[in-house]
Amino acid sequence: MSREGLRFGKGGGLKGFDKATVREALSAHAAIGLLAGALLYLVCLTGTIVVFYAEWQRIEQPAAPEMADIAPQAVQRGVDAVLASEKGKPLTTHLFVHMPVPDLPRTTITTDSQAVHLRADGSIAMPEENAWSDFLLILHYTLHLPSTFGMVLVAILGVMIVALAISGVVAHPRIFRDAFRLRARDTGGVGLADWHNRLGVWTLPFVIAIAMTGAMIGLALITGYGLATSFYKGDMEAVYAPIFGGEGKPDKARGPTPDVSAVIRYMQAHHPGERIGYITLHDPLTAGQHVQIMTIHPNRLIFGEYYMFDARGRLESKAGLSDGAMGQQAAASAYNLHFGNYGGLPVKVAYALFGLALSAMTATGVSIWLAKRRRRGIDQPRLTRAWDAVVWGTPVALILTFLVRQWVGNGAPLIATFWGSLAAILLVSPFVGDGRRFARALQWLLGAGVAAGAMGFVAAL
Amino acid sequence: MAVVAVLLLRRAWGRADRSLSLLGGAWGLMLLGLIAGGVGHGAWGVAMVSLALMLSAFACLAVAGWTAPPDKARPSQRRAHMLPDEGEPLGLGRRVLTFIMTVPLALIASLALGLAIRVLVAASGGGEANANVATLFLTPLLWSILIVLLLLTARRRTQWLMLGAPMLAGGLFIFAGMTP
Repeated sequence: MSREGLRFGKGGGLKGFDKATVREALSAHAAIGLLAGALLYLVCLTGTIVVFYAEWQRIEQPAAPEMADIAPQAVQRGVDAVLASEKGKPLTTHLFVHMPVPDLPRTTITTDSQAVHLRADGSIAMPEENAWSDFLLILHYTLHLPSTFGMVLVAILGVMIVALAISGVVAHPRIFRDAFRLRARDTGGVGLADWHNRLGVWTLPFVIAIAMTGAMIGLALITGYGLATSFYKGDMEAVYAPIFGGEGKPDKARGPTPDVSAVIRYMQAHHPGERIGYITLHDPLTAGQHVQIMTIHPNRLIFGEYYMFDARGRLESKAGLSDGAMGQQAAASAYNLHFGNYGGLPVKVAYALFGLALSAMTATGVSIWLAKRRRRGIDQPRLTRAWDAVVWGTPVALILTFLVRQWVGNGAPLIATFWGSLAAILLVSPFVGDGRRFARALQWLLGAGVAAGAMGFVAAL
Repeated sequence: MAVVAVLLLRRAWGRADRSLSLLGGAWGLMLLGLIAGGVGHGAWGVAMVSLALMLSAFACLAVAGWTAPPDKARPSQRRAHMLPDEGEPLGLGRRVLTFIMTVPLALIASLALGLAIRVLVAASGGGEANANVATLFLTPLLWSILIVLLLLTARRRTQWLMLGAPMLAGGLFIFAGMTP
């Protein structure tokens, strides 16, 4: 921005930003991109892959029983069996029943200490084994850092992406006018810049939507704390109770086994158009226990609606995510909008495509900056190779974790494998003589890894 | 409708001169498509139409990339001024201060504004859920905008004002909202 502030040139509008503002915007764009480049790339790439979280779980454990639906009595049998298996251990605070849904047609029960798949008759089939899918999800959520710090850091990256989008538009006065101009076969630097700018302009709505929702979800730890401290005497639960509904008062005295089948029958009778996605038992087997149902609404952006029942299956309340205050509906929509699970496989494929475009933008942004410096006579081969190591080494390290998961099993050291291999690739990169061959070798490794992973999956089937 | 809008926009932007009718038609159709999606299926409809728009544009880009002739145009030489030239000082202190202003301080200023908005929404009868969600949604958005504005501003004094004003205004509103 010029000394006097943001100025518009002749004609006004985005094209009308004065030269000084455009120059400063390019500086700001480069500063943010270079500061956060590698982490941004990692978060964008893992976000792209984790769009298929449900599908990865099916690939990871193809033998788990699948079903289009499950009878209420079968779910009850499964809950009873899991609770009985934990007799003598400390009571679980929550028990989740994942009900079969189109993209993950499995019934899975998770407690504080175990996760098992059920057969259609409600008997326990096998332990859930989705270590790689969870590894990937946590890498995207927290970069494997301590959860609060990691989530906030990833949220900050979301804020940076929005800032990059705004500064990118200001820094390129012809960005809309040239939106369909792609000189893809230009090798002198224009091609790379065109890819970066065109993908940037056409993914703008997607980028802003996923970055804002991601930042909102991660920063909620800080904004929620601010709200709790300012208006709720430090009670974080009270901040979210008006949005998602409150939790009942705990009463640790012994209680009966909750009647989950009655709850499912009630929902089938009274809300036949809604599909149950999750059943959550809060403090099961205690006097304060209650049953929470999350139902999926077709053709809605909200992730679902919450219904609260007592242990005998009597409806107590509904949160109002589907028809309550605008804020409730908006908050409930943020999750699906971010994860892309609101329109089946076609929407997931579109999200993966746009996610890949966003990853390519973060990768090419730094490459453009390095190439410009090279053209000005400032060649930094080590830095260039280190960036190649990030761009190609990250997917190589990810595919390596997938292969290790296939070879070693669910207990494979995935976090150590990923960060160890990525660190090794980065450490080797400055000592490589030929940068082009180094990048090519990483690309070959990636291709070979994908082929080996696919063959491993076919063999597992 | 969305696909036609993208095709019209491609045609409008591909012309040497500016055709207001073509541009207006393209943007109008795009808007109509989004409204139709919203009227039919609410936020879900708007999201689906937006995806269709972006996919259509990607298809146009794929064609442009596929049919692009081999070229070696002179690339842009615009400098980002991220690193100093030879002989220029690094200015590490200035850079660190800019980082502190744009990351932690701008977050505090945005949070203060976000909380102030919560007070305003609640005071105007917007309801507790709407008020809390307004803070949750607006804080990251305000932070992003503040980062860009700070980085576009050359003068430190103006930057401090940009941070101080929302902190002060937000603080006053929060205090007013906390007072029973």
